[in-house]
Amino acid sequence: MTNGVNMSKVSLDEVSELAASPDSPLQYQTLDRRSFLVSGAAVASSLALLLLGDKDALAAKPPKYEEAVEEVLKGAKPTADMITLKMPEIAENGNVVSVSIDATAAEAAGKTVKALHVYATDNPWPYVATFHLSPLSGKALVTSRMRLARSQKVVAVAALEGEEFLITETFVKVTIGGCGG
Amino acid sequence: MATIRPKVRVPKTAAKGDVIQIKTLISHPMESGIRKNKKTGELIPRDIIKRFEASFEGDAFFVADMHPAISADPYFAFYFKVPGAGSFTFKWTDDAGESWTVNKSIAVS
Repeated sequence: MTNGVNMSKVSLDEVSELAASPDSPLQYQTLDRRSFLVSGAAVASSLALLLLGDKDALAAKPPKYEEAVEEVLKGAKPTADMITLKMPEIAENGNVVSVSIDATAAEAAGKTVKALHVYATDNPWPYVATFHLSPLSGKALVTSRMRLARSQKVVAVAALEGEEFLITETFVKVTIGGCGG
Repeated sequence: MATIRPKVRVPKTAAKGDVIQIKTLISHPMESGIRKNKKTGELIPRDIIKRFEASFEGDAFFVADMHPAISADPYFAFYFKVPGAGSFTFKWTDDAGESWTVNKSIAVS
């Protein structure tokens, strides 16, 4: 992907140089078939990038799970304690897998849970959902249903008040993958 | 597209200070944007509910930011500590900015 982008930048520069000097027809003549094809492809691919330029859409490359979780942790070291992730060990249908994130143990220890983040480490996109809680939330326990493309590790991170983080993970074996990939 | 129907289950009454469970469900395909039409091979455009907000007397107490990895017909079960009688607003918003709202109220016994 990075190679492709670099290539298109270089070739685009070439193209604009050529366009900027219309009074030197020699340059057009020296443009051989190969570089012509390359620049054509570059223009096409950058056009495609422009058309799909939504930050959360397909044009952007999906981040790895490690990068996605770092957006929340910002360098902090999470503790593997006081949070549990309840999921089936074997999911027959990856399209609908129940998931329960429970950080009530942290609340029992006097901490305030601000948000719960869920990640699927081996899905096309690692993000699943973020649940923002408030003092009116009563208890930090959320249940939902998610998609899993294949057997993989699911990770939950709880963000506590005072830049503290809790983390837990569980492995789910998926018989039929979801996400329709 | 089929009509989208949100459903919410909230107890009608509770005691002040009780922690109650709220369940919500909305029928929605949650099209991931990476699935292909099997006949034409073209990508089916993404169409998901991005955000769900549960508010009590205007204050959001539970907000979910969703990604395509949330299953079709998003379901949530979460909790609420009842500070007194009042009204809830539950609001779902999709990629196109369209939204669906359900209002509920709770009495304190």
